[in-house]
Amino acid sequence: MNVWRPLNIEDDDIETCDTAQPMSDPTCMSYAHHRLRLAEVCRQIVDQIGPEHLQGADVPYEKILDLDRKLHSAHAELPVFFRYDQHSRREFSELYRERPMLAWQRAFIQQGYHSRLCRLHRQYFVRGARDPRYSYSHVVSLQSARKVLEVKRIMDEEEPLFAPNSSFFWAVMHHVFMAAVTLLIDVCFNWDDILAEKRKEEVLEACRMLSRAQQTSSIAREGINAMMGILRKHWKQERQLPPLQESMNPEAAFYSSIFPVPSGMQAAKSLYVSSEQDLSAPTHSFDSANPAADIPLEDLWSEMLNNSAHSGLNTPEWMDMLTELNNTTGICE
Amino acid sequence: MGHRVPSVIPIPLRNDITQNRANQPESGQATISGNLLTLVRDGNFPSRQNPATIHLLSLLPSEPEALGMLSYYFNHLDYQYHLIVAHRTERDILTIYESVSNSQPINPGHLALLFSIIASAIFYQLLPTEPVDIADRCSGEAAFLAGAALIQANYIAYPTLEGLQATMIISHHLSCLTFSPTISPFFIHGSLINQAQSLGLHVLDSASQIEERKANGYDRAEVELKRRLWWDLASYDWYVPPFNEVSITY
Repeated sequence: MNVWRPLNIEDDDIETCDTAQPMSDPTCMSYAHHRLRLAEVCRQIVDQIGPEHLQGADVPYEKILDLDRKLHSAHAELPVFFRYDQHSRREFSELYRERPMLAWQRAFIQQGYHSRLCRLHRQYFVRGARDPRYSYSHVVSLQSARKVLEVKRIMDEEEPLFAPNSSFFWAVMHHVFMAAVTLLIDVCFNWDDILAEKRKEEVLEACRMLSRAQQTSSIAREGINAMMGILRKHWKQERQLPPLQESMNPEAAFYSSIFPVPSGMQAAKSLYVSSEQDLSAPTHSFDSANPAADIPLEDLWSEMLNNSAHSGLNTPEWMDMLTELNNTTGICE
Repeated sequence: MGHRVPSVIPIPLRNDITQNRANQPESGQATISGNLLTLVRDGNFPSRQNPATIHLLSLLPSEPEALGMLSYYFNHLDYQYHLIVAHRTERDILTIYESVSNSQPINPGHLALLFSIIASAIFYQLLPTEPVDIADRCSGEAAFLAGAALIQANYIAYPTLEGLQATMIISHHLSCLTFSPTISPFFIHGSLINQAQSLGLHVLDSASQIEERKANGYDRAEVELKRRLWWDLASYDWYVPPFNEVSITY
């Protein structure tokens, strides 16, 4: 292709102007430029991890770290009016009042970067909880998940408020759901951590955020119900495991994954287990055949948290669950 | 085949033919008209009609309503992708109503763009007060009208910038899963890339294009808008694959 980048100019100047404004100047094209910058890194990620993905192999950790640097480098290029630190928020509060779209775009681009950081490190997130070689992935995933939730809280509570409500945009709610699941998985892997209770409370707070979105937006309600169906399905499978494995703690489950099941086989296994389970009487409230629509989201998540010490899922199974959650909902920016 | 206007027909004649089609309901087919929300509540769905022959002008909202929809779209949705230049689109919409009042031919691309804006705006306007299926249906009906305008314009054979804006607006802001199959192919991402390539957006700044613009003059805003649309499609393409698919832009 042979197309110049669009100019960083206001629409009023589009018929007369040949010269772009500096990228540090906020214009109606600022967001498009930085969205494109993020998209370029996404493209690099696709290109670089494609071979491993096609072979069903782990992406070498050095490659993940290199791509992480690229994402952070692009994030650092964001102009001050798209940053989320307290100083920028105070300095540009007047600008955001005059041009609320810039504040909304700032929220989108920040969620975009942090959800992709979570995604990039996914393969090493669970391993990083136990193996110090990958602890960076664990830390970055948690930091980014918390940032996604923080951005959503600001979207809901701080001026200028989104109109229409940000919960109407499924891309936003998908990022929030994935961030909440990331924190949930962390609790399952660190159920004996000294801060476990605090972490559980953090997960429940994220769950309340999802509940509020469900009450506000029918789109969020339908989307979250669909994703809860997947979550319950995976949890239900775990609950039906043989007694020996059921009693296995997360660490033992993690080290039991010496021979990871290829993702294709994992899917086949999931189907098999599901059909088996359909024949048995439900023993748990997380029944995927029953949407459990009447059960409050917080109750479902509380129950998952209470059983977190016996989650029994190993690394490939977490990956399968996250991949399925990601793929079921289609396009998200 | 019967309804297709051969591409060798000169543009003015082709415009006449498509215009006549757009303005005249098919024999024996009842013309439906009115507010989309009312039509949907009454179970009177435009999408049950033939998109190639449906009388689009009878479903045109009033001028203030259309401008209200544009205003809502621009102030509440456009910032996500910035696919229109408000004053140019407003001019296009006003031209539609001037043409109607003067009984002049209407540019179907402008009509498609207006219906695409209505489809996106009405969905988010209705969501806070109406059930999602009503919002979805109203928006789907407006998207159908946008698609019908494109079909009546023979858009795939003769793409236009406004037509591309229309398909991108619908594709970016709405889920196309429940759209009528007669119009949904317009809004698939691969189709958007093809439409843009048909307009030459991917080679907009090649040496030959630059020379041609220098020699013949050009609309600066239109060229810049084309660059915006192309890079939006490229970035959309790079976002969409979940880190594991092959991009289709290159």
